[in-house]
Amino acid sequence: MSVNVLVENREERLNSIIAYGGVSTEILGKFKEKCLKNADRSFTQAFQCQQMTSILTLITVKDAVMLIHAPVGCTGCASFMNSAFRRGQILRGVKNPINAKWVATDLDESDVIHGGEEKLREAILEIEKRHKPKIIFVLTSCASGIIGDDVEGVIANVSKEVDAKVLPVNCEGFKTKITATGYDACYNAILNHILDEEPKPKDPNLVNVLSPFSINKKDHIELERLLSAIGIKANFVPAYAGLEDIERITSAAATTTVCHVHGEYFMDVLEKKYGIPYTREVMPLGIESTDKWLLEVAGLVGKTKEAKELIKKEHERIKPEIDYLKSQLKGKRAFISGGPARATTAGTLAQELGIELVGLHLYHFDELVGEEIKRLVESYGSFNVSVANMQPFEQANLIQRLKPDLFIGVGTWIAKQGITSASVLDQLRNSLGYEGALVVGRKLADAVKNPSFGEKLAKWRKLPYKQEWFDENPFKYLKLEEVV
Amino acid sequence: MGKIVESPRYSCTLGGALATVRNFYRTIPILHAGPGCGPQVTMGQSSTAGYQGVGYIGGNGIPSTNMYEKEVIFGGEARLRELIQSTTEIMEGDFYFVLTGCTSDIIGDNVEAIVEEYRQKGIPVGYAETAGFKGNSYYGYELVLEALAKQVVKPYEKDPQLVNLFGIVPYQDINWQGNIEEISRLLKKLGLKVNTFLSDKQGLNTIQSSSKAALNIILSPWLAKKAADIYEEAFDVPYLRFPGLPIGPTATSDFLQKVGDFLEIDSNLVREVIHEESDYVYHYFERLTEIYVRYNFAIIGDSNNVLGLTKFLAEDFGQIPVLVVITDSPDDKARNEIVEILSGLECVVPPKIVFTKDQWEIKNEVIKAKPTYILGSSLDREVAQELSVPFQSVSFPVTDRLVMNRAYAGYRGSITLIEDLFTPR
Repeated sequence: MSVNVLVENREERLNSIIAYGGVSTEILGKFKEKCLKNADRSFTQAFQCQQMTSILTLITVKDAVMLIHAPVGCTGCASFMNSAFRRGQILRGVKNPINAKWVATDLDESDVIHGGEEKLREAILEIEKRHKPKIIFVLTSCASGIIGDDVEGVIANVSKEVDAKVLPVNCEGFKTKITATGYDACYNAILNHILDEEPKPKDPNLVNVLSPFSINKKDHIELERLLSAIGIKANFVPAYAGLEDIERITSAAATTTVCHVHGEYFMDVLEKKYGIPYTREVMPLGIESTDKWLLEVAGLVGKTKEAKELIKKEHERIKPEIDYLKSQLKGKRAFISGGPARATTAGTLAQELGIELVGLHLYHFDELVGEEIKRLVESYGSFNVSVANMQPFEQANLIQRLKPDLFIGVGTWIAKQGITSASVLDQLRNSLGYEGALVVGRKLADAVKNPSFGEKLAKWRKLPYKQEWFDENPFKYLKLEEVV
Repeated sequence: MGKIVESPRYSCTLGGALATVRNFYRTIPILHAGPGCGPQVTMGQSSTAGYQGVGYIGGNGIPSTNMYEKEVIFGGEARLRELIQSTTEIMEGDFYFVLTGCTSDIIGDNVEAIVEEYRQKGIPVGYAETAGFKGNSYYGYELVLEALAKQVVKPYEKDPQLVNLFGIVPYQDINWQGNIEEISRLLKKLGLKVNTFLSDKQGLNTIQSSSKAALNIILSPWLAKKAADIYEEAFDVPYLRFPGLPIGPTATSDFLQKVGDFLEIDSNLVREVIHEESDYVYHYFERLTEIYVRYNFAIIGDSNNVLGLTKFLAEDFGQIPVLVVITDSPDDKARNEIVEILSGLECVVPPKIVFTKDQWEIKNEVIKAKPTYILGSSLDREVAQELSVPFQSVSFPVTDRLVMNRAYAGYRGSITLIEDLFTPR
């Protein structure tokens, strides 16, 4: 077994930040001058830790069991995502879907005092006996990290006794403020414990498409359609993939991803270690972004001509409906919120639909979306920007000031401000590719057409913030002086 | 039996504690915990209970110290102070409640002292140390009740008409809101006022004055023992324990009769209420005779729901329990009582009774039992499909349908339950 090389946090590796409040032109300027510094807030709300991101990334892998070395609470989102996994199987044609398999070592008071290594070892053996899986992912937690369990050591020892590949996923929640670091933890485990040292024989038409679980089956179908139209076979990993698909990664001619904030680390290592080139461009969300993505993928495998033809055909195909959607959405003022790749490309799509951007909230910001911000500034000029690992209190204040017509993002809190919303992250409907541009456009047009749910809800139910808070500077609680 | 838990059917101590605190009216939980604890135990506790969402406060809306490496190494007390201060500036609430997670409890932050500083300033704030490693959601619920009884409840003069209702754990009972509403409705018909802390906009004031109650009613064979003892010793509130949710005419009538007897409520009134409500149920049940069928059912869930559902289905509805799986780890005394109740069901041969929290063991038991109907959590739909038998989700986690104000408890709840179970499929 190879040694597990630890990947650095995105704070260190990419200078990712989670605390900024200002305007687009300023953040772009500071970014260009490399003087954006990370900070935090004196008031903070909880957010998705990297361990949750790791669970979401791995829960759909076939013939795998996820062993979460933690008290049972740290498995919570697995139970929730199991329902999406079951729906995902049905969408993929499975009649009787199975449950995802996740197990907690159930760390208790005694383990916290005496260590949980023996329990971890027994758990791995028990899982092997029960399920004979091909892969066992062992996810760490705050508790296992703080008590100092040697997870790698346990795995190194027990691996000799089991047939399954046992992978440590180092994703302790306390180690990073950037939830996307959890993707790197998963890919790092795959890199160090599944892929061979030498690449497999090349398949010149095979392209890896790194995709998180949030990319649904309809998006898979759309991207597969576009890639196969230009003669590319897509290897979607790791969501809904099996061990063979993961092992096949090193035989690919190129790697791309549906979200470079998701896949950048792994793509870069694949290039450095196996010489597999990768795409630097954006998420294929929106028309121009899909063009760019497709052209770049095609360029890596010598299919540029085919891609250009396809793009031309697709543009002609969708133009009438895009024109109609524009007529519905023209001049609407939108606030966009989400992960940095998704939110920035949603901004470009919004522009293609004639929408005006008044505010952008990114879960984090770093060089991976510098280009995207530049694109948005070129299109829209100056708009409000907030960078926050969620922190809905700040967003609520901004929204109250900006009073957008439309919120593009997860609408959990926004409905109570009476703002109509639609998401570009959907378990059932398309978001990506040309088809995704149409579906998202329809959703946005529908949101504008009938805002009654939020409007009525807002009359009856308020957000849990004091009225005084809405009169304060939205960025009052940023601790900019403290460089973390 | 292995020590591991496959697909757990509850969250951790923090999960249960947070589920409880954030449903007190205008109460703001403050987490002194890792960054993901808020969303993780919201998703794994309320979203997994029929998509009951963040509500007034939950998930990424909860104030949280988000303890990182710095706090792990240097301690998180300064950070907690800073967060309580800023929370009182921003969050709209009458009552704040600090809950700790694994990180704080392992490194040993002195949360009590910090909370006390804010109490000295006149800010109403409670706390409980609820590290996930201490136990499950049920334990979290118990720790919160204990904390309230010790820190918040004040002595008041008695109100002979007032009762406190405990034992229904938010989300672990997927129908907690509807069940609380139905039980409250019935107790109100007996002329009582009902404190639940979890309904009717009851918050800090209700909790503080809950010592007025003439009786604590505990709907559970094992929960809330310590809290009940504190109420009894410190505030002279006796308790009446009813093992399991009262569901359907027989059990609910028994429940109302016991409460009536204890509080010496006019026996004619009790009799009238029981008659009227039972008659209402049979108004509907008489419409079922055409489609009535009998199943050998396996049921999986926590002791409260399993006892209530099994008793109703066996004693009022002629169904045959073949396997009962209890998933909430009750103590030994409660286990004996549960076994005794299920072994003494009217009309049927006692079912096999298994205590386990592990999905693998549950699935194997279900296959062995050869049921013709499975009532369980959404996790058990898989085995029902394998066995090609009908299935209905009745216990946590429920992710195959939406649950809002549905109730299975009481009289009216039993009608809803029958709608869910016996829709021809």
